[in-house]
Parts: sequence; structure tokens; C-alpha cells
Amino acid sequence: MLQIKEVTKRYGKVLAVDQMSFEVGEGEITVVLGPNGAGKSTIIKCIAGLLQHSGEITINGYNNKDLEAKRILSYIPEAPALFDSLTVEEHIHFIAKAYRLKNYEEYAAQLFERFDLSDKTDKLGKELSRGMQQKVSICCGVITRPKVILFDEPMIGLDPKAIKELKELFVEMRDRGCSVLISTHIIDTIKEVWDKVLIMNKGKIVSTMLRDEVQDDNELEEHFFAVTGTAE
Amino acid sequence: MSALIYILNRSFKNIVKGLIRKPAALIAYIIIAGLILTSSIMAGLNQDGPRVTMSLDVARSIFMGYTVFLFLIALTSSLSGTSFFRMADVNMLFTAPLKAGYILIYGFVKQIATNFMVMLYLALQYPNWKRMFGLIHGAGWILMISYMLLLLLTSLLGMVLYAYISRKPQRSSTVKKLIFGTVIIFVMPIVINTYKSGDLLNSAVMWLSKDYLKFIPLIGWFREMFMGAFTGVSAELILYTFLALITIFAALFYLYRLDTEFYEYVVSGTELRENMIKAMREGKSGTSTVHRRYRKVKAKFTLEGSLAIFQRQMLEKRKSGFWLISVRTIFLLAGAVLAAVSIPVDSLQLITGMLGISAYLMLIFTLAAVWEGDLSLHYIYLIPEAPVKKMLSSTLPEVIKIFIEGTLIFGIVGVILRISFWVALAAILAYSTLGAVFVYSDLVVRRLFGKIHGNILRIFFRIILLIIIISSAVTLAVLVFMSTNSQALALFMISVINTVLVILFMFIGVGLFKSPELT
Repeated sequence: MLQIKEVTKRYGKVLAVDQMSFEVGEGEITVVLGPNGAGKSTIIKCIAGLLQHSGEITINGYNNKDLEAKRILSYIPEAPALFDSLTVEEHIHFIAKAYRLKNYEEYAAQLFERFDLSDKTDKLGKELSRGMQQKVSICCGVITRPKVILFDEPMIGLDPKAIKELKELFVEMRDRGCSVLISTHIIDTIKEVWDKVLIMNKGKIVSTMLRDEVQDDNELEEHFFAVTGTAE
Repeated sequence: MSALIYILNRSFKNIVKGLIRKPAALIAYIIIAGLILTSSIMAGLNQDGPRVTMSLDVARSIFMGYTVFLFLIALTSSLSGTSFFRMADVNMLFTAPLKAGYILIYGFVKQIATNFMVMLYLALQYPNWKRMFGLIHGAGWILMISYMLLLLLTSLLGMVLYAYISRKPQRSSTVKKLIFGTVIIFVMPIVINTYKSGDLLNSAVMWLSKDYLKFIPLIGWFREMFMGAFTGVSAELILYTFLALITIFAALFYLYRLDTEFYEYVVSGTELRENMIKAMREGKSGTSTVHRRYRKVKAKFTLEGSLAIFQRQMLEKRKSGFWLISVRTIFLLAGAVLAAVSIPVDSLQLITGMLGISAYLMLIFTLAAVWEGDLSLHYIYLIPEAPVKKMLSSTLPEVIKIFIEGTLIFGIVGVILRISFWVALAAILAYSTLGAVFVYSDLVVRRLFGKIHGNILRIFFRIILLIIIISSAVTLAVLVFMSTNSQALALFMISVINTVLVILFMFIGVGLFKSPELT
């Protein structure tokens, strides 16, 4: 369970996130949708504890900076961030050891298989294409079997098969009871999987939609354009 | 052409605006500029201060060595592509309906602007040099013009060489062999003379100041152009400047003639330049990061928690070097051994001098360590371990590396010079703790200024630190030496002060791991 209460983040004079509050329940996929510059990545980074902010963020009741919170949280950044000189396999081993994971090898092999990385486990981080790096970055985030996971624009750079696998992974994590928070500006990429959508504009949530409230995904798109003022 | 002038104009204004938006960096830059300007004005007002008596031969050798170094850097780096354009220039200008010649001039102006800060620094240092070295009236202009021409020419020759290699890639290895062969032949007289006389410095000066070396095209010409600052304007100086200008125009003409093909030669160099700029913005050494190759090493992670960070860094070091010995260690060790066997000075003086020089080199060349790369990725902040443990695990490999470097340098040199075990040990500790001061001071700089604004602030902060260390630790060490006559004890005092600073910086720096601002 992820709870955000009145979180505000400023970059100098720019108000990136303005008094934002929301929740992501257990076994729920929440999508933060918004145009470029809406503050989506900023709120995700605040939750991950990477930015200083005001307001309260709790992960399963723990403050997001507490070690207990960090143990159950994962974050997949927008730009894949890998170590140049570590191989794909070494990335996973490093994360597993840093999080003191046991018996993770089989799950790692499954993830490699799903994301077509099985034949690239000996490749160095710097030798991979952007899409491949993104896949490794996703594996590093997922391998810890987190209870709360944050994805920042996860589909960028992925091939169609990887996008399909990732969508399935979202659903599997939800079914396992994980709170999944995804930020994106591409509505098409989260169709079929979302439970709740938070539409952000200029640092604020301007609308919240639940899956039960809409007939189909086209309605979501129309609503998005209407509330963000980006309709033609 | 107006479009190109617009870019230059707007870029300059935006750089100024960008600096105003970052007050902390701006203040630091103003302080740096203020210090340089004050020293310049003071030197200008007081031309009766102490002078350095340097023979013309020494000056000639310094200019020759520096010119050779610049040419070598430019030519070797050009083997993998060189350019004075940014990717935005390549993507937008080369596809725009603009004449190739105009684009070349635009790149040229940008290159001059890039070198402007160096020029400004030289201009401001001029009153100091004029007083110290007794330069002639108007020497500043001679030095500045010669230096600007040298920078332009080396950039252009790099591009020409790359264009030549690109036509047949197999030429690359031939050119590489040719460059290194020429360097070996060039330094051979110094090696032979040092072998005979045992005096490296004198051998270098004797060779590099030889009059007939001025006939070596470009390198020799530039040496004589720089020497104009001591000897005044002569027909020879004008001739060499004229020849340098002709070479610049010839190189420009060659590149201009390539016309549409020009894009092909520039694009790979520009990609390389972009990567280098990115690396340098992260505080890394641009050249070594871009060209770094990794060895295949089979390793298993056995340590858990924050120690996994330590183990990962050690693995990265194994892949990029020989365990904890880097290329820098080998160079420092070679230099120290060479100095130990060839400089006829008292052993204790020499080891103290080496400590000073090593500290200075560490100041200039120890740029980003692996831990700084860690700070730009999210993993280290998310790993569920105490911030202090993460700080220690991520910085310890660098401190160990510096300790091993110090042990190798002062251990081996200590044996060669037959100094006492305690003095060698004290020198190792002084060197290692100074390295640790630099490592942990970088954490503080990062906390104060965010992502380091280039390496200028880092080096500036380190200079301030060195001043603090020199004024406290070295003064204390001198006092201890005067009262005990023990060099070992004096050096231990430096280590003690350094350790106090390290603890202080750790205390401040740990906040970076608790409350990051990873933008």
C-alpha cells in the first residue's frame, strides 16, 4: 500500500508537484497520466526517495526513507541506468546480494527468457542497445519481488514483444498483491491493464478515474484531452 | 550565415543566463575569477617582487615539451575521430541549405570561444609571469596569439588526419605506429643522456633546447613563436607565425574541399565528443571513460547488503585495470622511480618533494572515482542499508586504491633511496590520508553544489583544502620536525590532520546518501 499526502516539490521557483495526495492499494495498478512536464517523473522520484520534498509518503506504513520501506520498494527509471562494466547477469547478482535475496536464480532465468535476454547475459551494460538496457533495468527492479513498484515511462525503447511481456508482468504483480504505480504520457501503452488513472497537469492531479467508471479506453483518452486542455 | 550568427549569439546569452540561475556555482566562479583578477592586479602593480631566474634553454625546453604534448594529444585522439561541433550542429546545420564553408567558419568561431576561458586565464596570469620570468613588453600578445594558433592548428590537423584515415581505415594502425615511433625517436636522446649522466632534468633541457629543433615543422616553429615572449619580435618569429597561418588556411581549405563528405568525417568525432562531454559533466575523465575497454573477469558476488556495493566496485576495478593498480599508478610509480634514480638530491628532500608533487598530481588528475558514478544511478539510494554503510562501501575501494598506490610509490622509492622504514611508512600514510581527504571532500562538494559543475569547482575546492592542509598540517609538521628533528614524526602529523578532515567530511557527506536530490 502506497500513500502520498500533500507532497510538494519545487525546483527553485518552479513548482513541479503541488500538494499532491493519492493512494495505491494492494493489488492495484495505478497509472499517472499527464502531458510532458506535468510532474509525473518528479512525483515518482519523490516516492522513490530520490528527491527532497515536503509532505508525507508512506510505503506499507513506513516512511519512504526508512529501510523497511526500501526493502519492499522498487523503482524503474525512465532512462535505463546500468553499470558500464557489469554484465547483464552480474547486474542481477549485484541487486540480489544488495537486497539479501535467496533463491532468486530461477526467477532471474525466467525474466531473462521473457525479455529475450537469455543469450545476452554475458554482455556488458554499455554494449547493449537502449531497449535492451531498459529490459535489464526492469529485471533489476522486479527481481526483488517488491510489494510496491514504480515504473517511470517503462515502455520507451521497448520492442512490441517486450511491451506485451511487460503488460503481463504488471498484471501478474497486481495478482500477487503488489501496488503498481506507472507514469506515462502515452495512453495506448496502459490500455487493458489500469485499475485507476490519475491525470496530472501542471503538478496537480486534475482528475481521477476508476476502471469501473469508464465504458472503454477511448473514453479515457477523451477525458484526458478534456481535463488537460490538450484537446484539438 | 545570419542563422549561424544567431546560434552563436543566443548560445552565449543562454550560458550567461544559465549561470545566473545557479547562484552557488556562480558565486564559486566569481570567487575564482576574483582571486585570479586580484593576483593579476597585484602582480601588475608590484613588478618589483621576487623573480625566477630561468635560463632561456629551460624556457625553450618547457615550450617544446608542451607543444609536443599538445600535438601528440591532438593527433592520437584524432585517430578515433575529432570535431569541434556538437551533435545539434551536425544534425541541424549539416542538413540545412548552408554552404559547407560557412559551417566550417562557424565551427571555427565556436572553437575559439571554447578556448576563450583559457585565453582569459592566460591574459590574467600574464602580469605574474611578466614579473616572475622577466618577459619583454608585449609578451602577453605573443603568448596569446601563439597559443591560440596552436590550439586551432592542432584541432584542424586532427580533423585532417581523421579525414585521411577515414578513406582507408587500415591507415589508422600505420599512423598510430608512425606517431609512437616518432615519439620514441624524439625522446631517445633524453633517455641516452640520462643513462650516461644520471640527470634526467638536465638531459631533457639539453635536448629540447637544441637550436636546430626549430626546423621541425610546426612543433619547432611554435617553440620559437613562444620564445618571442623572452627574446622579442624578430624576423624569425614573424616567419614562423606566417607559416603557421598558412598551414591553418591549408588545413581549412582541405576540409572545405571535402564539402559534402565533410559530414562523414565530423559525425563520428562529434559522437565521441558528446560522450566525452557527458563523461566530464559527470566528473569523469572524458578521454579515458570513452576509450575504456573492459577485461573479461569471472566473478561471483558473495558479500551481502552494502558490502555488495564494495564487491561490485572491486569487480569493476578488476575489469578496468589490474586489480587496484590503474594506469595512473603505473605512471606515478614510473615517474617516481625515474626521479629517484636520476635526480641527485638528498633522499629525504626527494621523498618530501615527491609527496608534494604526488599531492599536486592527485589534485589535478584524480577526477571522478567509481563511487561518483554510483551517485548518478538510483540503485545506491534504494538499497535497504544504513546511509553510513553505503557511504563507506562505495568510497572504500577508492581509498584502498590510493593506499596501494602510495605503498607502491613510497615503498619502492624508499628501498631505492634507502630511507628509514618509518619515513617511508609515514609518507605512505600521508599520501593515503590526503587521497582520502580528496575523496570525502568531493562528497561535501557534491552536497553543497549538487552535481559538480564541471571539474573547475572540484579542483577549486581541492585547492582551498590544500591551502587549509598546508597552513595547518604542514605548519604543524614543520614545527614537529624543528623540535624533534624526525621527518617520520613530521609526516605522521600530516596524516593526523588529514584523518581529522576525513572524519569531518564523512560526517557532512553522509547526508548525500540519506537525502539525495537525484535529478
